[in-house]
Amino acid sequence: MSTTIEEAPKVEEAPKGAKASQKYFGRAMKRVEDPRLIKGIATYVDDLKLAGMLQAEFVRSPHANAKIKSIKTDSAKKLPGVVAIFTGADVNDKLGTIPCATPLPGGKSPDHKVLAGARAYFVGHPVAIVVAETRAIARDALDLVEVDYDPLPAVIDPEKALEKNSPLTHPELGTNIAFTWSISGGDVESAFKEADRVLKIRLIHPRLTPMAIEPRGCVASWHAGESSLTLWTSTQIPHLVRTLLPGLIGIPENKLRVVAPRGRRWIRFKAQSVRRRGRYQSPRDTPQSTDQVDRGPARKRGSHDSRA
Amino acid sequence: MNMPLKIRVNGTLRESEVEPRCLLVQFLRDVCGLTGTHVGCETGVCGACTVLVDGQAVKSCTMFAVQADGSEVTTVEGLSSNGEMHPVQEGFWECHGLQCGYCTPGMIMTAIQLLERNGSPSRDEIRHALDGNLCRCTGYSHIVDAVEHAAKHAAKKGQTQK
Repeated sequence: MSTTIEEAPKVEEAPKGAKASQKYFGRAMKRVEDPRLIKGIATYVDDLKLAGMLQAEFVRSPHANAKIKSIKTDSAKKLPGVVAIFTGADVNDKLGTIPCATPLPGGKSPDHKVLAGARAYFVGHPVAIVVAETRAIARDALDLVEVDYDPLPAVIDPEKALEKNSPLTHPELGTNIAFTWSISGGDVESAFKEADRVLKIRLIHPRLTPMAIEPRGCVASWHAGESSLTLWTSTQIPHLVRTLLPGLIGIPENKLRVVAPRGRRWIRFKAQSVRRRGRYQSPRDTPQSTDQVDRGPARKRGSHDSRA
Repeated sequence: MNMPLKIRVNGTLRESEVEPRCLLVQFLRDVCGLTGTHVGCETGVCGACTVLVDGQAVKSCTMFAVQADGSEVTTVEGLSSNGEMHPVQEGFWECHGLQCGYCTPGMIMTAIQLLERNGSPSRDEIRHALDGNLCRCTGYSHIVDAVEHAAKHAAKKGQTQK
């Protein structure tokens, strides 16, 4: 399965009289890891198969803001092959909150629980987890979970969110402003006064949703004897995952092993431990609603050029 | 109720019984254990699951396994022979046509169909042939280079077919 030494790319002879350092510099090098990727024998998260592995799928909110009046899981639980179904009421008290990976100065952040509780506050908010023997059964069971929503007015425009009568995304914070960050330096006022021309532009940063071709996914294996968890996940930041996850799932950091196999993915998600092994791989449409809102390229909206 | 099927995959006859809704890609990955064919979107958009069914490039998430009953299927694992890579695989390695490699098997299978139909495609023809395969790492230029490289070298070797 692994690359053999024979497959490592050959380095051409350096030019005559070249220094040793010029063996590599200034020339295109073939990548050592490519053959296994090109031959289809690399191991991505979705390729892992563990004995007795279960599959997880999520019931997600179709509403941006909605009160959850009730969740009925009885008929889904009766489906042969369904092992467990968890709702916020089952797990939120037992687990910590999902931390913000990048704390901002004065940043306000709600206590994001693993599953929605009394209210779903974004489209795609996980409301229940279905764990089943196969992915197909888990997906069948999703359709049998009945969630009764009471849709509420939602915040969908960042500028309108600042208006006095705007609904609040997180009422407990009392504001829709997550943080205010000023950066200053130099004598800006004089610079404008002395300028020959002053150009005003309005910049709008759109939402950016990272969407790698390998979907987000993870495989988790609980080792009862050692009270430890191994998590294989499609991530670029296994060390940060290992730092942030223990507080959420309530195990010490030294009892968590995070493995990043092939691929280059972000993860913001945790597998529910059912004291067994489980896997989740997100469907393609899920990241649009659940992945982090990031900075995007700025778009210019109108410009105004005036003589100072 | 499961349905019986027989599919020749990379030259090996696979006989099995699968659910009628089992997709060809699930059959290849879960039943045959050939995980080189990847699932990116399950909706026929991304092309990561492209395989050859009786020589035709097919997105294997858009086909039920039972629809391929009686067919010959070639996946990326079936391309190398005696440890030697297929010219298209060599092209991808030589021209840095990949980074994470998740889309690569699908890209390679689509490129093979193109080169079987047109041994010396222009860069525009390569782009057109690959427009059903998405890559999120490379920006595509190196992939076009890779297929161009493969076309030149396969022509030299007198081999466009597997």
